[in-house]
Amino acid sequence: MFYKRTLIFLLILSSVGAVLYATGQQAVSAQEQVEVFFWSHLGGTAGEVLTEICEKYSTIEPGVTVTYELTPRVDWENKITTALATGTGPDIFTLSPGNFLRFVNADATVDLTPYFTPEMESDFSSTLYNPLESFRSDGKLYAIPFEGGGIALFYRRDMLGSAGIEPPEYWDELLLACDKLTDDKIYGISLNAAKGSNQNYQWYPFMWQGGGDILDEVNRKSVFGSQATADALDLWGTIIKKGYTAAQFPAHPADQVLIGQGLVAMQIVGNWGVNDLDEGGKFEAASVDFVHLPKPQGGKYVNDLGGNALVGSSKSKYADEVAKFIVWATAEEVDLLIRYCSYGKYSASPRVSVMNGLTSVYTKGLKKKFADLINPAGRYEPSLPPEIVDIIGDAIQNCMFKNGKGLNEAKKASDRIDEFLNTYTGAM
Amino acid sequence: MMKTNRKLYENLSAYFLLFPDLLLLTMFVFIPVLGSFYLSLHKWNGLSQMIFVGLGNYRRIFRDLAWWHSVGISFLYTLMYVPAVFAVALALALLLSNLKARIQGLFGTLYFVPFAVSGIVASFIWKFLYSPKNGYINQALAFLGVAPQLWLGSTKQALISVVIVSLWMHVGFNMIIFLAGILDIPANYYEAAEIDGARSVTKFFRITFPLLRNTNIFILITSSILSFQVFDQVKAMTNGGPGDATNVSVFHIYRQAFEMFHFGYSASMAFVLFMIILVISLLQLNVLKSSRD
Repeated sequence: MFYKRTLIFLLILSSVGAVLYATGQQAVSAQEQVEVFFWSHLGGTAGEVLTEICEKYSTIEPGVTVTYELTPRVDWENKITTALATGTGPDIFTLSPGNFLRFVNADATVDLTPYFTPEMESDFSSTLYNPLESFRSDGKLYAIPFEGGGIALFYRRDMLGSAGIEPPEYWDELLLACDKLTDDKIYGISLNAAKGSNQNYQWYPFMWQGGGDILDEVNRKSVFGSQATADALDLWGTIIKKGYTAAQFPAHPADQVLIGQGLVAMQIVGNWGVNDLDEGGKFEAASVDFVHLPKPQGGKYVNDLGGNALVGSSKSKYADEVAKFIVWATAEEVDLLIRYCSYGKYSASPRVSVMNGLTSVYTKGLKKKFADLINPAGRYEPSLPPEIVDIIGDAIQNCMFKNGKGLNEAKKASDRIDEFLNTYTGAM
Repeated sequence: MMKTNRKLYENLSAYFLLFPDLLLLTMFVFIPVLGSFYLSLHKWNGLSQMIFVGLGNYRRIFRDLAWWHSVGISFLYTLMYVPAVFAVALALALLLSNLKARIQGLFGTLYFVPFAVSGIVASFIWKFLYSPKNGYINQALAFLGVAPQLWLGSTKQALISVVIVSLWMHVGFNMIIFLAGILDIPANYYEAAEIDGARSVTKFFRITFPLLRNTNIFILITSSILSFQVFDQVKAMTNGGPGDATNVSVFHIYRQAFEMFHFGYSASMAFVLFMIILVISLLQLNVLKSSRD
């Protein structure tokens, strides 16, 4: 009886396995047209417009279908890496400058240079730093940005008004404002205290505004050990040690919900928060305004522009079609990019033609002010190897949470960066 | 003949019933472990080709001060967590053992509930409780006249704050195991001790604790292993900070893999951590079992 039951069980198992295999074979053989997959974490209205861009391209190139697939934002880069490593990755995906270099060093990106004409390049803004430079390596273009935006110091009018404070323009004014605004219920300011590329992104402008920088890329040497770097490190250290900001917030430190709900009086927020904080937005009642990020005495205003770019996977079977789509979507199409930067997700565009179109859309409120004041003057987030991002993070953390002094930490980090560069052969 | 057939039938049945679990263990544990060891012999960023480096990753570990610092943090965590969970679980089990069955069941369930909560969910809830300005813990302290604490925002308090959350999550499970051990002790031992005039403390140290030896060994070893594997609470509440105050070994390995993209190196760290845990477990087993002998 036992052997009979065993035999029946094995027969059932084999049949199920055979059916599954046959089904899989049929699914593979059904794919005959060119279909490329575009992954991004940009959902909601942003994802809606990106889908429209894909659909419009299919009307221009009927033989090519670009399918937009939304993937979770959490651990986005890990998901892409794992998928590419296992051969199940997308043909097109989005990246920001902060995580771009690793993919270039691994030859995981399509070279877009042959498809990108000088006429297209002339439409890209060349303000303080050309946005395309963050996505170039050894003279070749591997990604093209389609959005961008800076960060600003947002503040609650009611809280500053009650304390009798003007929005700070300089660092000493910022510290004074934080001191007056911090009480047992709220923090004066929200800073990103967690180590990582997000923290570095928020911290870089404080270094740049004093004239500091990370690398001399021509000579591949660190210039991080400067007084400007030290001052920026000390500023952040002072803010956390005096209790003006928290090491942990209930939400992400750059999430506008903190200032919207009155948990902080001032907050560094970027273009992503403007819709919610503006008139008609979720936190309209919070009555929020903004100024440039405060600078040191004698410093110069510089912003940090972040944003996503489209990248083609070198493992794609349709590299040519992928490159053509990316170039069309980011460097040729105008109307849908205007729609993306207004309706999809409030952001600036690295292209002059798109920004000109947006002036008729941003006519009032925070959106207009942000477009006029914040977007024009900035430099794109630098593309750095993760080792250098980590070294900079250590310096910031030591000044914030240990007894690190700015100049010591800046010089120590600079030496570590040089030590790394001595053996690093990847792209910069 | 019939006896032999029956034995064969029983053996085959046993193997047949064990086979699915063994298959799953092979697919999801043994093969990945072997794969991880293979990976640890290579340099790989997840995208490029793997480069064979032999024991190069292991040699690098010995020079990596950040790694050994994270091991130190893990040891500190273990030294705080294991005695606490042991003592609290045992104390609760002793209290519950004196209750009537229904009430014992009710309280047992209540204490066990946190164990059923996902680590990430529990961590986010506690993150709110720990909030320095608006969290309930500081509000309760303020009511008692105690100054507000930074908790997760303090390099001195962050690790113990994480230990408290782990304790809250796991004490119920350990309590149930202790309770089962206590209820298994024959009642006539206590009766005989009472006749001799033994007090509660004496009964505990002379009867209860010694007869719980096997349970004690089990709780100590499993708690130690678990404490070295803590990750969810750190990731959700502190992200290894502030500074690197809660940068435990597993979190350090995670960072090396998924933030630095040193997959081969992180795999080698995982094996070194495995060896550390194995040595500690064997030492514990030897010491505790030899004390019994």
